Amino acid sequence: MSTMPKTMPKTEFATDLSVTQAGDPSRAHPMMPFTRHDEAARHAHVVAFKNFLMRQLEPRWRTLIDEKVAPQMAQSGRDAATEYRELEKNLGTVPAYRAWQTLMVAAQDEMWRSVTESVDHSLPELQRIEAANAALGSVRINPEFKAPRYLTAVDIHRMPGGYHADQGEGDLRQGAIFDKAAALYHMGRNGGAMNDLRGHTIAQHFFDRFESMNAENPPKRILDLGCTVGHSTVALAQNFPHAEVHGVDVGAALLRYARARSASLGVSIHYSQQSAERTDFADGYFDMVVSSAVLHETSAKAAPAIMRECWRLLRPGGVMIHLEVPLRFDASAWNRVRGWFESVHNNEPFWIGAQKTDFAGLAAQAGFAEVCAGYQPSVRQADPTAIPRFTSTPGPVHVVWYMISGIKPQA
Amino acid sequence: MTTDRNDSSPESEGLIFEPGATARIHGSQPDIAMLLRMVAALTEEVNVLRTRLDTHERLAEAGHAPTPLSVESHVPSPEVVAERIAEGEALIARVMHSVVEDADGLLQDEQRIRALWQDSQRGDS
Repeated sequence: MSTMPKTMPKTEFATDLSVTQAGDPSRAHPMMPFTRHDEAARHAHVVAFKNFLMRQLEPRWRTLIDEKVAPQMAQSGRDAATEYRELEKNLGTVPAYRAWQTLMVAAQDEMWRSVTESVDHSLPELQRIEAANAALGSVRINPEFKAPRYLTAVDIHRMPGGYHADQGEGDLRQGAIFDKAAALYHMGRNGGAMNDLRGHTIAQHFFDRFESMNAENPPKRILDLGCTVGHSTVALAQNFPHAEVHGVDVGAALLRYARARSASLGVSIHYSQQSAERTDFADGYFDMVVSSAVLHETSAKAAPAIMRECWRLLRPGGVMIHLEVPLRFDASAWNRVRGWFESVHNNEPFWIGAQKTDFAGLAAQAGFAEVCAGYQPSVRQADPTAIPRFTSTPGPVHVVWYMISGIKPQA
Repeated sequence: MTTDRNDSSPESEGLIFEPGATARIHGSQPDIAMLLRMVAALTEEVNVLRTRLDTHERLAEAGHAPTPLSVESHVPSPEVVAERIAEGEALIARVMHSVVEDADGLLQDEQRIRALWQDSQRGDS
């Protein structure tokens, strides 16, 4: 029979959880926020509920639109993909579709709320871990920095406070919330609790497309634009262990947490609070500049500006790689209706625009050569000796990623 | 490059709405939406309680008292986690059965399907 006390002082929770959850795979690294018993159950429920909505119910809408409505409209000489706004309105007559939309929003909001609950009691312990690893990597915060409007006008993904919320010096909260929620958001499919699948996939794309460069002159300086908490940045640093790796983003709390997270994993990365459109690095400083699911969150003005900044930052012969979500390039009618939902109800203001944007064309306009857009199969661990699998064949999100890459020509 | 990502125009398909605006779900009634959110929240509470009960039972089976600290210290095996996920999914499927039923009914109803594209703007009526 246990002799454990019935109650436990609240302040001891984090310390005790750091011991009991030491081997918990959902924590993945020392900076991951701790979860109490019921919080872990809530997080599991959020994932199960999202699974129900997106994998059980949503395929029925795809069947309805792409296999029934679109062919009927085509017989009448109409294009369902063009009329997606009308279809979306008319779906409002379907009780189950209205319910699906309402519940999708509810599940997203509950994901952020339940994760924040865990973060708030974990923060004292996370700050202790951050201080213990203060020597590794760096973070530059610019108190004068103003995040661009396209990232602040709405809370992207409905995350309260968005990417930019910050409570001042030493604050880690927004980064911890983003990190803990990411695995739930991706339902574990972006490399589990590490969320590094995309980073490894970017590295694999480099190995697939630029094999000779990797053999002769591997990247010595790498920049990750829109790095958030360093999910992909850490994977890049691990794949290029001799490189000086940098990450930029708009949120101070995101970046402080990113440095602490990287350091807790034994990885040195230099983070700075800057806009991807215009950084303070010298011309030609980097050998490789990448981004991971960033372009679709930028405006029509910002996307070409980011391409131009990539060109400026790269040395001649340097490589630019942007990873994007593949579904947005599916032109089916359902994907257009779904894209509208994502834009309006999940606060992805540029989703529809990104679906229609020729990012490879923007890269070419910025001056890049050998520009290529296609699909890179996901890898859990990049391998420079693997047979190249970069392809023009699309696939589902998380199974493949849409890649846009090119080289800055030699002068 | 298309021009519909122009963030200067709220009418474009770029930046769609202003800060603080609440996006509207066509045909949705506020009280129904509120009830749906309450059902979703209650379903989560039931699932959390079921998980806690399962932890209590497993602790008792192993000869431990289910105290707050023993519950917090309990680390379920991967098999137990998988079992709990399956039970949670089954719970959600039971609660949401009527929603799936309506979707499946629609897929079999040619008249309702045709109405989705033959009439315009019915969602607001």
